[in-house]
Amino acid sequence: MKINNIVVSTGLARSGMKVRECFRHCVAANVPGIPFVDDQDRIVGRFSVRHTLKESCIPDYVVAHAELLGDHVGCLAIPEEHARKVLDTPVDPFILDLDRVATIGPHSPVVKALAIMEKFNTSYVFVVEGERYVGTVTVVAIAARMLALEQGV
Amino acid sequence: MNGAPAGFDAPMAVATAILVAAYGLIFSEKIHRAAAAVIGAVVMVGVGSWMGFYTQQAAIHAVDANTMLLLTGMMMLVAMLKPTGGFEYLAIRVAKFAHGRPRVLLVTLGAAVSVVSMFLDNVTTVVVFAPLTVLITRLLNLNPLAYLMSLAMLSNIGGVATLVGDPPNIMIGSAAGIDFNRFLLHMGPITVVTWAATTVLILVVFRRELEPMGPVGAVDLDERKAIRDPATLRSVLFALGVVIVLFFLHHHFHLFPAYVTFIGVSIAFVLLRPEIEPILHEVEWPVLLFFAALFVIVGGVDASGLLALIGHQLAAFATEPGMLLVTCLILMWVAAALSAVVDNIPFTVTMIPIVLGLEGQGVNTAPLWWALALGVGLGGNGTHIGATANVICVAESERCGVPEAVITPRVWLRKGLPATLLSLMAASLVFVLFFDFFAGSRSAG
Repeated sequence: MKINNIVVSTGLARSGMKVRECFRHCVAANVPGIPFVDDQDRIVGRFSVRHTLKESCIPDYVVAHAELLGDHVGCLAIPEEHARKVLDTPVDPFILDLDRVATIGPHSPVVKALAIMEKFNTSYVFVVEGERYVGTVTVVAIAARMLALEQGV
Repeated sequence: MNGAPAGFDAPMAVATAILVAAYGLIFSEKIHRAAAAVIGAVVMVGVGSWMGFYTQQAAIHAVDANTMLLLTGMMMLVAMLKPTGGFEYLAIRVAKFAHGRPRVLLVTLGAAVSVVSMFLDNVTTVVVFAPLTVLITRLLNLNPLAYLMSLAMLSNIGGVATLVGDPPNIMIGSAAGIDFNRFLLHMGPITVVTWAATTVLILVVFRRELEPMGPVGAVDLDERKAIRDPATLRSVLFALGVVIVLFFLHHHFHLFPAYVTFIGVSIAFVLLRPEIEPILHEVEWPVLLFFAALFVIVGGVDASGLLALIGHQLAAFATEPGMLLVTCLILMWVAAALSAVVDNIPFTVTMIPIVLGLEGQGVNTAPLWWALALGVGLGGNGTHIGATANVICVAESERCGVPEAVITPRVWLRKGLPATLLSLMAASLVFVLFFDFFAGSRSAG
């Protein structure tokens, strides 16, 4: 099983883009994050849906006591107005640094991709050839490919 | 300590210069305060040995082992208690007891954190209580501002009441030979008065912030899920219970408070057989190193004879009729003023040998110890940086995402400083009214 069999091409996040546009890229490709690139399309960071939601919608004090929360915590709910405000926010403050970007080559074995994901505590990895972004591999894509192999597809 | 010298001499000048330079480095925060204190201690021992007024052996003797070990033992017990979820359980139960009434919630949370801070490290208490307080207040649609400020202030006040509530108390008790019961007997009632005065003033100055910000919610938190390790919680609480009982009895059995703490640690070790590394990892070694280095620095100043000279000058003042009370009040307010802006530990460590020196010159030092403990304990509430608990609550207010809840230095000065001044006035009033009581218990050590 090779990476280039399961890679998914996605859109890119750029400085000044709104969160809304990056969310659309992620939803369209069914990936949890996309690369953040500079003017020459070099990867300089990572846009992560989870990180963006955490930073914009879940205060630390809620995360710290998540297991204690009941189901009637209406005062903590995210109002629609706030959700719209988040979508209109530029992505720049939510971008993760390059040292938190996991990458792999298109000819690498899947086991390497899985190992790198474990190391970076993430569920996806960007595939790059030289400095060129090829696409994204997710754990779900790997699982889907394993099921397909079992069925002889 | 040297006898009272004839006058200010070269060793005193050098020791003073090293002390001032070390304290300047500590308060400048250019490097970590523990590193600054260690540098100061090394210079003091080196220069003192070279000039002949200080030795390495004297430096080691200057470190109060009872204080160091007591702090270490209590930190180890807290390190075992914290992950069990016991603090969170208590906070949620207290919050539910208030039934969503904002003022009752403030008083009950404040009382809980004060009582816990009487026996355990108040920094740990506030670290656990502060984020939970924000969550509870947000669930109730309340502004966390008043709750976070009262949490810090009342935790600091709670720590004043007991021998083990605050590091300065441990140092004072250890130096003066004050046992747990005598400390509680003298500081407990005055702490209750200052606690009540502060709480009432907080309720008044925050009356607008205590109104709900919208429809009142409910504390929908499951306290049973907070207990992550019931067996460990029971064992650590048992060990802590033994420690607290022995604190009340330690003078009868001639047990050092530090030894009592390690009895508790040993009980917990026997019952839990825990991994030792994670517990030791939680011990605040930088704090302990800082304290040890301060003891060495002040030991050098003491060995130079300077503190004896200061004590000699003060003794002439304090032994005049009626001036002992004035000396106590000056000490309390100066200690409070300094503690509001800088770390209270260096001041306490410096004052202890001076007060001990006064005792050798016939001054009744008993009320001076209480005045010192009150000043350094209550003064920390004066500014947003006056105590570590304050800094933690300020940081939590900035993180919580509620703009109205942010505790700025200006907010603290407008709301916290008046409460501090009131608490000091209340403490001074009680101190003056019952001065014979405070003056009547000479220290044993």
